[in-house]
Amino acid sequence: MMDIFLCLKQPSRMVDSKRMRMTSNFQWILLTFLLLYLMNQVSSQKKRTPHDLKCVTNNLQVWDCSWRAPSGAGRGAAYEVCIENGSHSCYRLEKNTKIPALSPGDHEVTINFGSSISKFTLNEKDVSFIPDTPEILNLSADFSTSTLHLKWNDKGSVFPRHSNVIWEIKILRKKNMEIVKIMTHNTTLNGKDTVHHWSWTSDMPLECATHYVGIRCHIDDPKFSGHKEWSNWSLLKNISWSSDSQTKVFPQDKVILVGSDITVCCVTQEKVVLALIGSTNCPLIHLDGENVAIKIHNISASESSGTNVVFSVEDNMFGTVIFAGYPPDIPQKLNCETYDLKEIVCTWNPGRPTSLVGPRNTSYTLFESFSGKCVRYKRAEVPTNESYQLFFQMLSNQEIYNFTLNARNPLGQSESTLLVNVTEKVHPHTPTSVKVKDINSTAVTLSWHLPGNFAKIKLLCQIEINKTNSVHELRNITMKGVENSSYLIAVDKLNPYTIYTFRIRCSTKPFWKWSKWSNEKQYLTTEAIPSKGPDTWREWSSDGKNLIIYWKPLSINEANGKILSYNVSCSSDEETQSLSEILDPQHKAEIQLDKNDYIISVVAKNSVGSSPPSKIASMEIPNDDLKIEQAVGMGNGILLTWNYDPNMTCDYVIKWCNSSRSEPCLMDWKKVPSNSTETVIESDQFRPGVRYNFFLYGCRNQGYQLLRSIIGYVEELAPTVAPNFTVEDTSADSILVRWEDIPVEELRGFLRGYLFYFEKGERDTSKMRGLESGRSDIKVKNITDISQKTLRIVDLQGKTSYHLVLRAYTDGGMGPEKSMFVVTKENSVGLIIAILIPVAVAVIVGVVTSILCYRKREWIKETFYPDIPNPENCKALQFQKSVCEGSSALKTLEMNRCTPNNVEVLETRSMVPKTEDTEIISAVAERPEDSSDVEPENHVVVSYCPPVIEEEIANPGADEAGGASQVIYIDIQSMYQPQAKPEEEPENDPVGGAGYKPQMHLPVTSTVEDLAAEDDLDKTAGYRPQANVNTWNLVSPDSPRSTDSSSEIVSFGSPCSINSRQFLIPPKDEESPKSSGGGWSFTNFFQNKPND
Amino acid sequence: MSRREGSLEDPQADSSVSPLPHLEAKIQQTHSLARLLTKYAEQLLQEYECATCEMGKLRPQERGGGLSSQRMSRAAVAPPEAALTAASPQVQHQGDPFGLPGFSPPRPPVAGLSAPAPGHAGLPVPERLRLDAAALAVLPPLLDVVRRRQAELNPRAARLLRRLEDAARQARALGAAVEAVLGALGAETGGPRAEPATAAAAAIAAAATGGVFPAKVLGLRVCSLYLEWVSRTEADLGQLAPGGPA
Repeated sequence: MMDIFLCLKQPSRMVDSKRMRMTSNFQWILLTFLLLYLMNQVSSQKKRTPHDLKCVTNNLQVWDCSWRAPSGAGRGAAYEVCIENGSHSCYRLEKNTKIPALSPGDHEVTINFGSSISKFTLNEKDVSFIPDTPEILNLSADFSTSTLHLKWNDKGSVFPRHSNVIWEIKILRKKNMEIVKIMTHNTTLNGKDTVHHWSWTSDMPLECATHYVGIRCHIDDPKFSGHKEWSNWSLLKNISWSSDSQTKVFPQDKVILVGSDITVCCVTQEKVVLALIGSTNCPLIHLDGENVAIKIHNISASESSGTNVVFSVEDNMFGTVIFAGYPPDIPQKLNCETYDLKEIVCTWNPGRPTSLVGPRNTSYTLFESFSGKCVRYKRAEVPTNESYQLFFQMLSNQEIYNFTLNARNPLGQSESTLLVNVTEKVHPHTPTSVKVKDINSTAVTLSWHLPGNFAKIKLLCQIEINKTNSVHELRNITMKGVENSSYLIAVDKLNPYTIYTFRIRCSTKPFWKWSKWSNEKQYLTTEAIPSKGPDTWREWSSDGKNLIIYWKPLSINEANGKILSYNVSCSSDEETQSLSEILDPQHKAEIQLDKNDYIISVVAKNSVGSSPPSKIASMEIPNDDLKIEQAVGMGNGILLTWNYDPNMTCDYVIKWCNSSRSEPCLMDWKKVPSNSTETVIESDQFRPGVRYNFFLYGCRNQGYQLLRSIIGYVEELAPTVAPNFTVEDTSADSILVRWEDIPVEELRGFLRGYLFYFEKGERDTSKMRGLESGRSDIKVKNITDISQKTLRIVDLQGKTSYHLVLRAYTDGGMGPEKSMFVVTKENSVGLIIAILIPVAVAVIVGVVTSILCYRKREWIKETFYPDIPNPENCKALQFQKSVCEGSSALKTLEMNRCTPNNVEVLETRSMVPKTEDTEIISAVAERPEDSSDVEPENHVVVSYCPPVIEEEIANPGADEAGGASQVIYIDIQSMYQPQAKPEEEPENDPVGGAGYKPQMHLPVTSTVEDLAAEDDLDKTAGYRPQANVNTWNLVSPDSPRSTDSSSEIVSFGSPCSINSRQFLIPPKDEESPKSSGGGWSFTNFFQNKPND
Repeated sequence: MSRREGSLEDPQADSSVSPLPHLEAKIQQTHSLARLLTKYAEQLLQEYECATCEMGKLRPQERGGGLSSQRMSRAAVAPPEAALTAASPQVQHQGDPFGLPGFSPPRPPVAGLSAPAPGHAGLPVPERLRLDAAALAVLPPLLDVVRRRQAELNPRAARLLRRLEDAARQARALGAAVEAVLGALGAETGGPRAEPATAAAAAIAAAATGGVFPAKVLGLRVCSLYLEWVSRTEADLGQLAPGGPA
């Protein structure tokens, strides 16, 4: 039947393909119908015989075959089925038959039904393998873990051989059976019935909703070549929580991993209105009935009291707490050691916090594998990141331990292991009960207690020895451990009478860790005799009769105890003097000695004994070649150097004292070895700016010789005072100054020189400011010759006030200044010259005038006083003259200047009439404006004119010019003729230009004009009696005055001339500027020197 | 009905004002102790629920009409320690939403102990004191249970644990003092109350182990009851104190 089907199927496929290619061909359509007809005929033929043979199996051993009965066959029809399977076997069966599984390959099956016979070819490949439907034996639930446990039987005994089985399990939830999960589970059939278990943990608490479970299987027999199909699903089994009608929230107190998801539900009969996770509102997932759930995704770590989940109903609320945390971290830094070889302490760090506390906290178990013992860490809250520790009692005869530390909490567990030999991991306790006991002055015994049984190992201990003001010393000691924990050692090489502080720490060998340092133990070693005698020096008293012996107290290291007293003895060949029991604070003694050579011996004593004596000779070896040198220190000390002297066999001694102190002066001394050539002298007593005397002694044959004497400062400072100076002598151009030395105490350094400043200036107006600022008007003289005590300042100006300043300086700086004001004397030579020159000029002028007058005497006579006046020259008779026409106002006889053009002198005695044509030029009209070049002689005009002053004279504009008339006044005192500057001469001086005028001025002008000009004329023109002596009381630069600027200004002498620039006539206005030193004067004129 | 009225209606209240000085002193001492413990109880409640919340926000029970506004005014004069606590960093030992505004946890019944009845003030003073003493006798084991549970939940909340421990001891002391006052007044005391106290503790211990959330709620309820009863005792003793309204 199947073959037929296949055969028919094959042409059918061919027809289909042709039809596809030639769909448009109608012929092919007809052919297709023809074929369909034929097939229908064949099929109807088949239906008359058994057909559609099918075989299935559910156990691979029996095939259950069935076929379709031929048409017309009723129920209960019998068939004869024969199978060719190597042998021919026939069965008489009804419609279905179970036949044993056939071997692989084709088998002919003949089914006889009456007369119709159907033949089939049966192959295993055509058989379907459908396992029996599995049956769930049991479905249980663990509500606490939300886990379903499924149990079923695989019925493997029915299968002939081992096969792999795939079980498919489906989980459904809620009453509407929503599929939650479908999972597979693989097993193997082993020929026996086997009950299988399978568990599944729900993401939702099982209490929240009913859960259903179904199962089916698929057996994969590799030898079966037929169709392997899934079994049918089993009957569903369900799990539901039997509510007691009380509202509850699930899960309760669940511990989950941080970051995971969780579903929380509320099983209730009431309507839930709100769900909160902490303070966050959550959407509700509705389950069966009023039950609701919420889903929390990626939950974060909880607080210690957990995360609250709350469901609110109408008038109540329900909740649960979720603890989100981490599984325990691997214990870190696990370390096991012992303090005392009795107990092992293991410490570790918990690592990452789990966020779980209380009963959910991590529990630790320490397991030792060799002994099989374990200890459990008792729960105690340890601050985060603090070490945990567990104690494990050591076992006798076991040194090596293999520890496993297991950490566990509800979310998981972890572990850490450590293999340790405890004898190599000894960390001793802190040594206690440290005690010190004397052995002698340089050794003590030290004992301490170290808990533990170290009898089998060696200890390495370290002793720290501290001495005051000294570097601490560490001494390592190896000792055998003891059982009783008491240890004792001797500590030597100590100093007598010294306070020591001891402390101890220990470790073991091999080294692992030091213990902590023990408490410090302080101890004072006993005294010993002083190791050396005191450092000794001697000085003779000022009167030379007594010898003063000095010694220094011994240092602590040298004294070896408390120095109680000193013994001093002086011995010579003849006698010995002793001073004993000089108590300690005293460090000098005075003994009356003659000038013999004594050896002084000083011994220090403490409670144990006396020191070796220190010896020094009383007398000094003279030294004739001694110079005093200077030295300057470095602030805190002073460096002294000297040349090496092989003769000095003992040592060198430098003593020093303050130079201002009286002899014997000794501040301190210092001894240096004989091979030294320099030393730095330092002392707390040194002060800057203080002069000290240093004396270098060399020692040979126990006698000291003064080699050098040095004065010096550790640091130079500026002088504190200025040198006192006085003016020894003053002249017109120089000042001699003398000053005194500055005392040493105030000098505060080596004097390097003086600075002398001077400048012009008076006390009130001049301040010597900014001496060092380089002012150009200040002159400075640097006197570096400190032996110089005088200074003459030359090239000064006479009668000038000078400001003098003197200051001293050292390398430490400039001292203060001292100043003085001095006025130089007047220059007498200049004064004389100023008097003589005007006199000489006047004489010369007089002589010249006399000569001229003598030579022109006739002309003068004719001109000015002829014997017979010429009437033509009389202006009174020239009314109609054109000369007078210009003035219509002249109605009366006016005595105008009438210059005759020709003067004819009739001299009978003269042989030849002499006519002189003299052109008389009006001084007003024809005088050149600039008359500065006019010689005095030019003003002598040979003419005659009545002594009339023209109107222009009264012109106020000419008043000032009138002031410039050349009337000469003589300085009564100086007798010098003043010399006017050319530019100060009047430009237009009709009066001055009119030649000589007597000092008696006859005013002829109008009364009004006269009145107006009267005052001016009084000031400017004409002779003026020198009655107003008050006006002489003026300041003049050449007026001598006191050096004291505050003294009254005394003016003497008289004004020289109205033409003088000096104050001849006092100004009316008091505000007029007074004369200053910068004004012009005769003395200035003659001196003509620069200011300097 | 005001306390004054209640006391005036009680004839024994008048007779309870003992002329004996030592009785007055005892009443005064007990009253002072009750007043002090009231403040401590407020601090405990504040610490338990929300260490940083204001007192006004801490009283869901009170907001529910449990206590009068007198409590609020008393909270307003919280001791300096409470102010210091309020200034400390955020500490909510029970976690959100405890202590949040508007959060009203349920008030589960506590076996053997109920809140003061509304008609408590109307009872005679000795009866009130007997009820006070009975409640104070039950409270210490309850507070111990709460402390143990909090020690698991908040092992590092040392102050909360110390206050719970102190509260149990102080409640015991106050209960004994009230019993002594009752004895001095000649009233019958409740006798030994160990049995109901133990039973109550066992009941609450069982309830507290049921779940963490119910334990938190129950602890809050116990603290609240402790405050209510101590406050009630203070008020009742105030009726007897010399300066009181009686």
